[in-house]
Amino acid sequence: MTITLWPVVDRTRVVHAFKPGEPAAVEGPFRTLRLHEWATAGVRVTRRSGKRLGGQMTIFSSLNVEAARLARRGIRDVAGRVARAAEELESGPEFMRLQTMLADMPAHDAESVVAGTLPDNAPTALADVVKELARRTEELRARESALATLVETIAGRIAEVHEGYVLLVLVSGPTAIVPRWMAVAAGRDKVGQLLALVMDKLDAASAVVEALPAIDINNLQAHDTFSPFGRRDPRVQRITAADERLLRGQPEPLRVLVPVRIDA
Amino acid sequence: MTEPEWHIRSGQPADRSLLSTFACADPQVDWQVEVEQFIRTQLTDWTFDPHATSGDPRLLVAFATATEELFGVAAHERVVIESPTAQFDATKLEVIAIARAWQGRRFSTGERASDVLMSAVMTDVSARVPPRDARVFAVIHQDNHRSLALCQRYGLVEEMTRPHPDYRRLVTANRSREAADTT
Repeated sequence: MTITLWPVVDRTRVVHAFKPGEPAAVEGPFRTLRLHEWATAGVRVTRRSGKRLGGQMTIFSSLNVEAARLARRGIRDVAGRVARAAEELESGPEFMRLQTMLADMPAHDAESVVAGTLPDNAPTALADVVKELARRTEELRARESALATLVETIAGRIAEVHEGYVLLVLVSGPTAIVPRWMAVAAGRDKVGQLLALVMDKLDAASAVVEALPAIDINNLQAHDTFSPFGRRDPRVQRITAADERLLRGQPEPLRVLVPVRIDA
Repeated sequence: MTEPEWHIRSGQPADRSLLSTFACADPQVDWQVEVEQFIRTQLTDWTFDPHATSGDPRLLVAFATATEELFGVAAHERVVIESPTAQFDATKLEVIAIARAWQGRRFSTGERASDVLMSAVMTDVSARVPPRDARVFAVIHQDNHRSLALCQRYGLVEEMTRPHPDYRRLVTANRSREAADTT
């Protein structure tokens, strides 16, 4: 089992990582992050409601949270690199599929997905794409050694739920007690659910502790993501020896069936 | 000579807004939605990516003259396809899409909208400087029968291995060197 954080977030989480304690609705911090390219613009989801538009939301790769945190701590060059990695992820096929799926969902369900909860009737493909995003996020995180020590994260499965707390059994074995209200806020207050605690140090004696939804990326369905578009997937241009034989020789002239002029 | 009922031009960065509403997909069909989403959200960036200029990416937009309606969008670029032992210059047809309202339609002079767009692509590929290799390939979803037929009409009649079980990869034909030498 490999438990990691939910890979999609809303703008609130990004702002919160940059300016803990400030109201997330304030424009200034996010504008600063964008100005310095420490955050992406996110991916706009325009929900469809029949033939009408059903409102918009913007979703972000969770790497933006890490970039914002790095920026807060003054590690600005790494913040920029992590934000670029977030941009890479957000322009990839997984985010494109997620964007399409969210566009077709009712507003409440779409917001729940971003917050870390899949609707009961969610298609397998939705779970798969979130897991694939989580896996890709981990790959990109692994490129930056600074992220390994940026925050302390413990993650595990909820084993017991009590009136005031939940008992989290960590992947490494020990258990931790988490206030129940925090687990509720993370949408993870039932036995069996996956929860993470992120401790973000503010100074020598204080830290922000967040309870966040987590996901197991090891039990991926056999869902092979492929997009024929863009320049990312090497399979598009990789050929075999049999293809090679097919391509040898003199190409036939191209066919044009309708005379067409192309203006500049 | 009468003017055709269509006109086609190279895409510009300012076409981003135009492309953002292009509709070519049945919302129930995932692979069609993928095409539409790519055109709406990524194609402008794909075309004008400053890191991709070596591939000479080209965007073409096709309009019906009478209404100025955007009926087709196409894009292509130069690529190198390679095996462990060989490399071939080629042109990849990135996307060829006809607006939903125009799918299956002909102009009053008889030309299919799809033939006009595909002929424009082939004309554009032929006209590139420096010249493109005449090997042209496309990656097409196996259920996209219209695009498969269109590509075959334009000489993409050979089939390479599939890059993914759901996608076919068609390429223009090549004459063997011996046959080419005798003609």
